[in-house]
Amino acid sequence: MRKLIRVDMTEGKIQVEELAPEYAALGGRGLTSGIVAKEVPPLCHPLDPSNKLVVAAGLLAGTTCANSGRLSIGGKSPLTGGIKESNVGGNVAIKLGKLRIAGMVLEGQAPEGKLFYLLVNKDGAQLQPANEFKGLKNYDLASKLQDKYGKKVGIVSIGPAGEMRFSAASIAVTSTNGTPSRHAGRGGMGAVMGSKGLKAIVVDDTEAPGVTYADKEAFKEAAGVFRDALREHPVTKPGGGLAVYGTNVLTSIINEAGAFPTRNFTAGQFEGAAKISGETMHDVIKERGGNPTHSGCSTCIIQCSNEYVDKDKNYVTSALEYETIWANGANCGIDDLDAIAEIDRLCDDYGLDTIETGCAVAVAMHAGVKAFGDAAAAIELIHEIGKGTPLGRILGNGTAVTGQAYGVSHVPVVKRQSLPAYDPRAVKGIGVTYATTTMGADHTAGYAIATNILKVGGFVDPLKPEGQVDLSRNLKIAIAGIDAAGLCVFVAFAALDIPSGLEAIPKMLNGQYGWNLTLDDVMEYGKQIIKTELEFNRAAGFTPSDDRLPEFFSKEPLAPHNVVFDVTDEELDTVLDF
Amino acid sequence: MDAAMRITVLLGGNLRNEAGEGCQEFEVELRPGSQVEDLLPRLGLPQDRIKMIMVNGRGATLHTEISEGDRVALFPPELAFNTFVSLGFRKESVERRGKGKQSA
Repeated sequence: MRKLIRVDMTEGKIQVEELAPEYAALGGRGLTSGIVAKEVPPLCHPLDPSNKLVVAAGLLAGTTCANSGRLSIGGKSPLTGGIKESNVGGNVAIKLGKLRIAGMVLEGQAPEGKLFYLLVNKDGAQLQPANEFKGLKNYDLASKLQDKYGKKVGIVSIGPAGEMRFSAASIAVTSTNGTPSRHAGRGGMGAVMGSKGLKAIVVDDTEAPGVTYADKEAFKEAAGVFRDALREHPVTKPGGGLAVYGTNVLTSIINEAGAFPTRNFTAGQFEGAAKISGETMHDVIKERGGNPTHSGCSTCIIQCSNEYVDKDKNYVTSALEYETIWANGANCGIDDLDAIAEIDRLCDDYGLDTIETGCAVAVAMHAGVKAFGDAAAAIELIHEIGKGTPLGRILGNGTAVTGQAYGVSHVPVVKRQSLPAYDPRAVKGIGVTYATTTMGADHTAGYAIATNILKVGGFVDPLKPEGQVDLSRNLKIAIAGIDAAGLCVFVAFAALDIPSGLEAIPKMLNGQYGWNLTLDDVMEYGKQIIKTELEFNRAAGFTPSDDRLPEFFSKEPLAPHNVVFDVTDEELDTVLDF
Repeated sequence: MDAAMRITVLLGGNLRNEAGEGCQEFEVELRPGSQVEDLLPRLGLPQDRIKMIMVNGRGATLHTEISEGDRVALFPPELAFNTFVSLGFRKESVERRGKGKQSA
């Protein structure tokens, strides 16, 4: 039986309970969204005590299943004002699984000025005073906690941005090698953690009891089939596209397709793309003796991570990713990979979402605060955020706030969350997803999936509106299912191209829990998660008019294809009609 | 023989090394009326190393005709993942579409 740890930050009390029957079949995003929808008042202020921060491992966490180490962090988002599940890798989820902990619910609010950290181990959980860690950046904090509890513990933490409750604040999770370089970036969940008075969660799985299996043989067989699929597919296999180039493999492709948002979404191709592409990054890392192929998350066999080193071969940051490189590179007109790596490190250290931050800086550049392409100025701006200066506070609260503060109308957000690295005018299916997801503009829902498996027949032209609504709807449902299992979204490439790999997912769940799920049940499970999230958002005040892209996407043609976003509002309203 | 036409080629991932090219992007001269398919022997690349093709940033096939000044981008299977679907470059659809037709 999996456990839930409830921490009342107001009273400093901890309760370890068995998962209630209504939550027993839930994991990952299913559990965070289930608890938030049931227990958080939709109209509460996200930084008030009545909001809850829910940290949940996926259903397969702690097993030997490959790529099952994703962690879901949920609550009401201070950025969007709606429900949020922010998803992150690292080494924490599998430790929770081994400790048989489904999740943690942080409730209430510590007394003003008090800061704590939570220690979770085989004996349960304890709150410890963290006042000595006040204002610490994530790297220093992680190393202090590792000095105390050992190098192998998993750490969930916030930096100064979270303590200052900025809407762009992330929650850091330690990588397999202990650096706080994996981030639940989106939606300002770091601010919610900060508002609770919680600086960190230390998870120590020493002598953990381990996962129980209803049918271990059946599980092992299915996990083997799943692993084989990942090892076979050209994108996910050892030496495959993700292992060699990381997620930044996308820069060349998306730029070539004219969908690489440049200088605050004013062009679809960046003249400096070749300088920041995955191919270039791979060569730079290799030449300097860094590691282009690295495992950042426990149980990962895809290894999309990397370790970026500077000219003197010193470690700068880990998993310099496509979204980060785009947001702080092309979107700010910056073509200097070393500068982008430094920005990534600073964001990880201060505890900031690299997408929201890069988009906010780009909007500030659009307003003339700094010039597009000025890398040194961008780095200065990140320091302003970390220091909490008045300008930093504007930027740290995200793209929408920055646009408002500087009177810019060209602000690429949906539900006040900034758009990720695909221009919706040139990739319309992703535009539909951005507009209609419960999360605010979010690319992960549109990040994968072979349309034939999902019964969406035929060719979906990225430059035309036809077929995008069905595509987006099915993608969203499947991803919600993957999130609940705690699987990395990248398994979808293999699982959906290799049918046995896909069928292995319900089989693994059945082997672990003794269920009788079919693939259709997993899809239904995904639907239920989205329905739960939609109900919360409606109660929080969202209407169909919030499921829209900013108007400029339908007015300003995007070069080089000179296209606008032309999926109609009526069509958008049918996306979530299931 | 007609005068040669010049096009720009972009090779994704490791294709540049497999083609023995020093950089990702370079110019090539081809006979007028050439199709993408005709470019591959020039580059020394077998067809099974090409999964996604773009001509001037739009989805294309091996049979798409190339014109003077065009830009042809080739990507290998290990790079053609989510975007292969989300951008609409599905293998079947690429194969199904006829000679000279582009996706849009």
